[in-house]
Amino acid sequence: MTQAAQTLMDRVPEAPAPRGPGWLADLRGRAATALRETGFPHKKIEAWRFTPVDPVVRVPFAGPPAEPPAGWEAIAEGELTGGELPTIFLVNGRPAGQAASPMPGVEVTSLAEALDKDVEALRAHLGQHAPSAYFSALNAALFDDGLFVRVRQGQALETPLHIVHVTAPGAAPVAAYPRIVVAAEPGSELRLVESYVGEEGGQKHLTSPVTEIGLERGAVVDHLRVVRGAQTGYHVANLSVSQDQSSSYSSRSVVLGGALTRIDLDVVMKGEGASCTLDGIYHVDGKDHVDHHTFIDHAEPRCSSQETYRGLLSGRGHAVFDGTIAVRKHAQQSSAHQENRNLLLSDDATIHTKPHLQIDADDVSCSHGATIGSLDDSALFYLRARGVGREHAEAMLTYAFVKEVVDRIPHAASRQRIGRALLSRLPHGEAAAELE
Amino acid sequence: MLLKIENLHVSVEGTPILKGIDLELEAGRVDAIMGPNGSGKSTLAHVLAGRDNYEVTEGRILLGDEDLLAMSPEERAQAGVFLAFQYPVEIPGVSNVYFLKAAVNAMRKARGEEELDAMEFMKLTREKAKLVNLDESLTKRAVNQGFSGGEKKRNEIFQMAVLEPKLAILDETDSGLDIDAMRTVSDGVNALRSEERGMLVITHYQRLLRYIVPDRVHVLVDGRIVKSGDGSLAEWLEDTGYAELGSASV
Repeated sequence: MTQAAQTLMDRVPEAPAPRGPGWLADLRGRAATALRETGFPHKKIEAWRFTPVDPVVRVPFAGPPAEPPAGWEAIAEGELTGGELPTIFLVNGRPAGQAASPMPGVEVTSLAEALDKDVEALRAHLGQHAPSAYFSALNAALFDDGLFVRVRQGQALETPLHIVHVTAPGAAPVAAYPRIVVAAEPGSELRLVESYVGEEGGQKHLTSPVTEIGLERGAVVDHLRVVRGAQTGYHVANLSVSQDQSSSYSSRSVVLGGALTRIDLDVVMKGEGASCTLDGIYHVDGKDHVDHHTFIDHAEPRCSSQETYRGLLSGRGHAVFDGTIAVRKHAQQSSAHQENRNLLLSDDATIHTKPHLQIDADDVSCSHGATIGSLDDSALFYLRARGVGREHAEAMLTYAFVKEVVDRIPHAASRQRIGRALLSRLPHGEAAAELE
Repeated sequence: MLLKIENLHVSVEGTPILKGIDLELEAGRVDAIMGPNGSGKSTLAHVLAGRDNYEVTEGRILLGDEDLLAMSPEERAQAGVFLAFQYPVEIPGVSNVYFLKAAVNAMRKARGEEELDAMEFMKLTREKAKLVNLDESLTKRAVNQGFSGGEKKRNEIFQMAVLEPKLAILDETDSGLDIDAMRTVSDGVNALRSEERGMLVITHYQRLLRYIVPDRVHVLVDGRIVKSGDGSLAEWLEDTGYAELGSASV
């Protein structure tokens, strides 16, 4: 590059480096071209109306340095999952140390290595599920590593696969573009516990991951994804899931703040009888901004989806929920239920919620709803009339609002740590610690 | 005197509901407050417990020699006031046990006593659940969520048994109960009668007072106590009805 980059777009090459197999170069080239043509999204683009990305894209974030910056381990300690699980660390999008299979039945390789070997199973998924627009195109143009996870036919993993993403800027603003590809072969079972953490304070950082998960016939994937936001951190992610016949996918998304956190979660059920569960919990405080866009595509008959997102909004926090469920014309006997409930804890917090059903079939069972409310006065009085102090009572009711969804997180150690982290962020949350 | 209400006037959104109530209750006594719908019975119960949105325009309430109206709802509870709600609130996500433990320990803390540990607390609740025949599995569920009408009312009396208040106010505890449930609840209440405790039993109907026999009965009509007497007043009301007491609002 002859001139110093002024903005993030200056980092998008006109012709990406010819590294890896030819099909990948094509993919990257197309993504870079598309992004340079459209530019980054602005507020006139409906899906980005409430999430201005100017503060992100005007920073000329550099790609990650060759070596993980010193001190990344300390940043990693802030992550909220795992506990006793063996962990694979990705620092600024690249595996740190060995990304070998931590357990039998699953193959985990660094994406760079899988690309060097041009693994055929990878080609079936990489770039096949995620859209190539805006930030996912940015990731396609610029990613240089990540993980490839493959669970072989009929294998059921007993312990969850634990992946921790650390974004550590070091001395200059840095962007990480991890690409995670998961291939769940027929009849396999995988529990994925994925956690994102970045440095708080210091230089700005952008984490823009793309995760592609392909579930083949009858596969089961349970995916916990936790983002612990930072005031200096931007997280703009795409998660694209493709489901074959009778497969089952569960997503449990937890987002604790961040200067700007945007997650696009797209699930397409393209095989009959597939099912998915999308749970979400978010908390914004201070000047946090958290945006979830979800899209569930019922492309085939007899699929079911259940989506439950709960938000806690305090301080001057801003959250967006935009959820679309599409039921295609011949996707008869679909069942789709969507709910987004929000608890406003401050007069200065904002939530934009837009649940949306788009149904072209006629034999379906569908529902959707969104609520925005404050703490229930009669419940508060009931607790206080039993001697529980106001602040404690408020903390109890606030945590109770999300507890049902927290309780569904299957991995116990992660569930407990997430519960505690949530409580510690709430006003007087420590008083309600035993609720967790 | 345990409770002394003097010339209490209360308005809700500018409309006077209680229009000068005088009432005294000694420890060890059970008084009933009877009255037709809209007479102000529940308003009185809520004002005693400290609910917002009730404006006391005149009068005062003393608990012992303390000014009850100056206290927050939690301070009243910690001082020994207990309201058994007519409509117990469902609180999803908060288990009965957790809630009650928080309540017990808040009170113990306010009184300068050691907090109960999990074992002591479990022993206490097990014992008290028996008293009102409350299925112990209900104590692990979310507060009142999915409870039947009878279970909710039993849960109120169970809480009262655990919290051991000085002043218990039972707001229409009989509403929505069949005879068997009413008998169970009444047995629980009767077991909690004590020389140290006063109770106000608020009810529309005389039938509850066959099981919880009051020392005195006060008849509340249109925001005023129009008649007080011993237990036989309840029976007289059953025969003649509130209309005989000459209020236009009945």
